[in-house]
Parts: sequence; C-alpha cells; structure tokens
Amino acid sequence: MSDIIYEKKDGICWITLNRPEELNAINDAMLEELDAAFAAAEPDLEVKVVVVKGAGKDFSVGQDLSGVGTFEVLTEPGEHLTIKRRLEAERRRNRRWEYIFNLAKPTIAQVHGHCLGTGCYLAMVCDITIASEDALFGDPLLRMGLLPHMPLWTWLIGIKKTKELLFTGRYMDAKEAEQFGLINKAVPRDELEEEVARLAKGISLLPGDALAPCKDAINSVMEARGLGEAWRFTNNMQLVMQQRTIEPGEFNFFAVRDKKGLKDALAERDALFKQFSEGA
Amino acid sequence: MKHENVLLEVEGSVATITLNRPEKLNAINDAMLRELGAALDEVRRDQDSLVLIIKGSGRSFSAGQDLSGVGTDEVMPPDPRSKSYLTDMFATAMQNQWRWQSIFEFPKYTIAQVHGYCLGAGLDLAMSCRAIIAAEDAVFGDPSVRMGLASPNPLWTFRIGLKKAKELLLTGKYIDGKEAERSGLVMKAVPAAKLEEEVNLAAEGFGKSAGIGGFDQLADFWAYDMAVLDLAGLAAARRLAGNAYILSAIQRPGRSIIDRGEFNFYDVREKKGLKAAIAARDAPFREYFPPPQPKGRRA
Repeated sequence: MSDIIYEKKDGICWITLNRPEELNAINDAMLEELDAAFAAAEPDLEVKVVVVKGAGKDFSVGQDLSGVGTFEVLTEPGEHLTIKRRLEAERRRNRRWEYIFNLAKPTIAQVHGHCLGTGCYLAMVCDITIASEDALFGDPLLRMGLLPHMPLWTWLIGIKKTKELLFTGRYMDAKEAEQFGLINKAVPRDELEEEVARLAKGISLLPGDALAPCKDAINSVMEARGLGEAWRFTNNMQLVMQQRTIEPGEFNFFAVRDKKGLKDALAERDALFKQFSEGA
Repeated sequence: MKHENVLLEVEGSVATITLNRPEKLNAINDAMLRELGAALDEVRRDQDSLVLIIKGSGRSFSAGQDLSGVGTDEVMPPDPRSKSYLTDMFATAMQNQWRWQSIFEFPKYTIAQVHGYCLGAGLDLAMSCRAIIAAEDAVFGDPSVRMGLASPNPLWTFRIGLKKAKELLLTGKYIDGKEAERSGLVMKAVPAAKLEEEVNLAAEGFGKSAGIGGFDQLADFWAYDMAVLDLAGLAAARRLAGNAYILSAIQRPGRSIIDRGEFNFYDVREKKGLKAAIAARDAPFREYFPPPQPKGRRA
C-alpha cells in the first residue's frame, strides 16, 4: 500500500490518506486501497474503532481532478460512455459511502486543512468528525458543472445551510462547521491529534458487541428518515447532470484543464466566484 | 389514586408529576413506571390541566432505569443468564418504545424540569416531553453502551443531530445542561436556583396560550406535529432502533460468541453490589470522557 497507510495499535485502526504532495486528492488507486483498508478493519477483532486522517498539510482536497486514473472517483461529463456504464459507476460510488457509513465499528475523521468534495464526503460518512480550527469544508462541484451528491449534507447542517453552501461552492471554517453540526468539535491545530487519540482510546475500551448495534440503532434512524432513498435519488440526478450540454460561453472546467492544465483550471474556476463569496 | 413512587399535584391549569424515589436518585423501576402511567392517565382525563410538569424529588431528576435487577422486568432487558426467549425481549423492547411514544404524544404541553442527573431511561422520559428546561449543572447522558446495550431512543438523532448523537451514544459520555442547550437537547438551561421559577413561568405561559381562541389549539397542533415527525421517519425509526436494541441485549458480554472477557456488569453487580458495578462501569472512561459534576456533589 502506498496511497493509504494502514496501521493498527491498541484496538485502534489508523487509516491515513497518503498523497501529501497532491494534497491527498483521491484517485482510483487511492480509492481501491481505501476500500481494502475498511474491508480489512471491519472483520478484524483487534480493531474497535477506525480513525481516518490525512498526511501532510490537508485531510483531502477531494477527488483528483487531473482526469488521469480517476474514472471511479469522478465520471467526467464529456466522456463518451453508455448510460449503463455511468449508472454502474454511480452505484459503486454510493455503495462505497453506504458501506463506510454502516461499517460495523465506530469511525472517526481527524480533519485538518482542506476537506473538500469527496474528501469532505469521507469525513461526513464517518461517525464522529473532529477538526482543527484551520480546517476548511466545502463541496464546490457546482462550479465545475457537476452535481454535489452527498445527501447527508441536508441532515447534518439543515436544508437552508446546505443550499447556501452548495449553490455558492464556498468553504466553511471549522467553527462554522461545528456550529451547524457538520463536525463534532473544532480544536486548536496542536491539540487535534491528542483530542482524537483520547476519543479513540476511550471508545476502544467499550464492548465491541455493543458498539455495533448501538451504531446500527442510530443509523437505522437515518434509514427511516429516508437516507436510503436519498442515496438512490441523488445518484440518479447526478447521472442526469452528466448528460447536460454545456452552454456557449459557459466556463468549461474540463476543456480549460485539457488546454491549460489543472492548476489554471482550478484558479479560473474559483476566480469567478472570489468577489461573491467569502472563504473561497 | 394514591402513589408512592410518583406524586401528582394539580394547581389551576398546571399538573405536576414528581418522581419520588429520592434515596435511589429516582431510578425508574417497574412500580414507578406503573404509577407514572396511572398518574399520566389522570392528567390526561383532567380537562382543566393544560400543562404537565415532570420533575424529580431530591438531588436528581432521574439516574435512569433501576439497575438493581429487582422489580425491573419492564425497564431492563432480561438478565443475559436467564436464557429468555427472543419473543420476550422483543415485547420488552417494543413496550419500551410505545411507552415513550405515548408520553411523546401526550395531549397536553409537557415540560421536563431537570436538575442533577438525567440519564438513560430518565432522559428517555425527559426527551419524550415537549420541552426540557434544565439547570445549567444538570448532567445528561446515556451510558447504555458501557453495559453492552444499544441506546434505543431514536429521538436523540432528531433532537441533537447525527454526529452529536453518535458522539454521545458511542462513548456513553455525559454533558452538562449548558452543552445540552447548545446541542438542542434542552430548550433552556438556567442557573439551578432559578430552575423552579423558570419552569413555573413557562408552564403558566403555555397554559395561557393553550386556551387562545376559545378552542383547544393544542390537540390540533399536536396532530399536525406528530404527522410531520412520523413522515420524517420517527415511527419506523422506533421499530428499527428497538430491533438494534434487542440485538445488543442478546449478545452482550457473557453471552456473545465473540466474548473476550470484556466488562460484565451483571457479574460485577452480583459479586460486589450495584454501586461498585456502576463505578466499575464508568471508571475506565473518566480519563477519556471526564463527566461534568452537578454542583455540591461528590464525584
């Protein structure tokens, strides 16, 4: 394993996103290792609780937008693919979030720096999220003509706040994220690791036989509230969105990227909105 | 009707039910539940009572379900060593859900006046009220998971949100009245000395607004409110969470195929007594999740 570091100690499993030079952008290779890491942690009797974190300066800036080795993590609108293939890819993506969300062990996201898009989704499907005060959360997919596709947004931070965040693509700092229920707690950067270690250690002392059904009892409430249907529905909408025709004169992220490179495309994407929204 | 474990008083439009086992921190056992049910029926039938206050006598609102194992068939799942039938467990869990649901749907304005400890089933009771008004130093929590049980109350997620519910229930940790107010668990946290006054004021206000317009507004509003919550999944959530609770009850330490010598509350209680068992249950977590202390009380 290289893109993911998998460690096990004293009942705690540490999963570290490890592409620090790419700000832990998630590509297919990392995703595969991430899947394998969760699949390994779940049945392991020595693991009571799973912590997900990022190496380097950020938790994760989100899906790798380079377009190279990123089919699983992001189906691009321009690609010529059958609906069947796109649908399969969407279903796989959702199944992944549902699997992590329902992992039969408690999961903690330890977030610092950027936590955007797919990276933010990963933190959202974890049971508990602790972040450092310098963390930034957001889901700027709409700025690239893609659909934000995490239904938990609405339940975690409420419908008004979700719309504000997704329509503007702006980022939210850890204090605001704590205030609106996206994360459990914001702590100073130098206390983050200790805070998470203490939480994980405490949970690891609980009976594993009780943690699983306790988590299930809470998650079942989300099922009853319609989360299951929301995954399916959101994912169909994303499929529809991918079929969208880009209007003349509209900023085309993928075309700019292919012409000028990823960095320029990202700068151009966010420059358009700088004057309208804080934080981005 | 005469009660021992709960007291019922009616004054004007406000009825008050007081949990009354102060020497046991108002731990809820089967007898108290039966009396609570009877008292609630009395208030329900009383046309003049528009508001119901539920509070606890002595130092706490309620420390939760009575864990002594005596006279607790309805508040606790069967002892793991009793080899009970799944049907019985299912019945206990569902009765538990419908009990809180019937209080949740109580056709009067219900206020829980909380001071001291408000844990487990005590908090289920308080959460089933329309509003909780609490002392700032009150202590809230559900330590079920520390005894191997899932917390079966779906209202947690509705009240304080998914992340916070998981943080509390997957650790069994306790929070004080102020944090409970920030999280949305309680409507208002006030200094302990002002609690009684604040609750009475609220009750008086609700009593007045309930009669506005010359008709019973409350019944109308409740019907609407309950329908919204059921559509938001509450009814199904009760069944699902109840099932998960049974799952935890049949596989807790001592009975689980993957039992690896983890803390067994029932064994410790039998050997060393209830107090020692509760202390042993919470001791390992003090360091990681330090509990807030109600003022003037020893740890």
